[in-house]
Amino acid sequence: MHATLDSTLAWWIAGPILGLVILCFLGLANKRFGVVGGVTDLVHGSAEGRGPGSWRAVLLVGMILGGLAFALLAGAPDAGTGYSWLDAHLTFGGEVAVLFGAGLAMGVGARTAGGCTSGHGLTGSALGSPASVVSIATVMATAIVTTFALEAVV
Amino acid sequence: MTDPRTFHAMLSLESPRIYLLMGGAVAVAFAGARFLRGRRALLTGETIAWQPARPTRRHVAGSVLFGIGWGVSEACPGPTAAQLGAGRVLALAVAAGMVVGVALQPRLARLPAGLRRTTGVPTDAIPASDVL
Repeated sequence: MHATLDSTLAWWIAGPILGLVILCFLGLANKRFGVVGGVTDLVHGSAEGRGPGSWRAVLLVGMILGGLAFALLAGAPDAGTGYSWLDAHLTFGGEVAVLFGAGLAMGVGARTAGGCTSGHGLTGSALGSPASVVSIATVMATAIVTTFALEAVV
Repeated sequence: MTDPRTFHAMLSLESPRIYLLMGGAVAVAFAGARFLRGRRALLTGETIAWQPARPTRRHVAGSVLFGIGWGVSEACPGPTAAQLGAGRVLALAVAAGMVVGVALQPRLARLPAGLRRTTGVPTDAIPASDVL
């Protein structure tokens, strides 16, 4: 089991599975899959529900539990205080501050744009919505430029 | 995706894997959605339908801000949720920021008009149920 979970799931398996997840929401209840909707319902509530009464919040909790399930089955390879390239450049406190700030940008940005990489990048794009295609293209371009800029500066 | 380094490899263009993964997901969902459109949803019975949305300034402005956050943190909301469950402690900082950001955003629309003009902050807070 460990070996299976250690190996990275091939994109041509994981991708279509994700596509099927989107289709399940669409085909079972005419709902749009996305993550920020769940955060929004936990924070404000919406026509989709409030707090745990919202299917979107339940989906979000499911994703957290999915991560937990993976950790329990795979021996928790991600547990701990490690966090990629930031570890080499910042103290733990510094990482907390920077990551909080980045989260803030993502929270404000996604709420403004009406979705994130899953909502616009997957669902909205699959439904052919021009707003979603523009959104994900902008997100990707900005994130790539930011990454290169950080690599040049740091 | 519970390792931020996966996204670093993606955004630094070292690995096409996540792009291919997303492309595969969109391709499958696109084809399936075309099949489903107009049919009745299995559980709720409502007609499966959607309206394409026109891109507006807030889509671009919000996406730029989101992209910066993603580039810095190498995480986006879904993976952050999975990381929380997987025990990556620092994902809490990202998640906290996201929750505060989502909570604060509608208030930005109420900033003074002059400040909004100079900073280009989109003035319309979209309805919560329209957020994907």
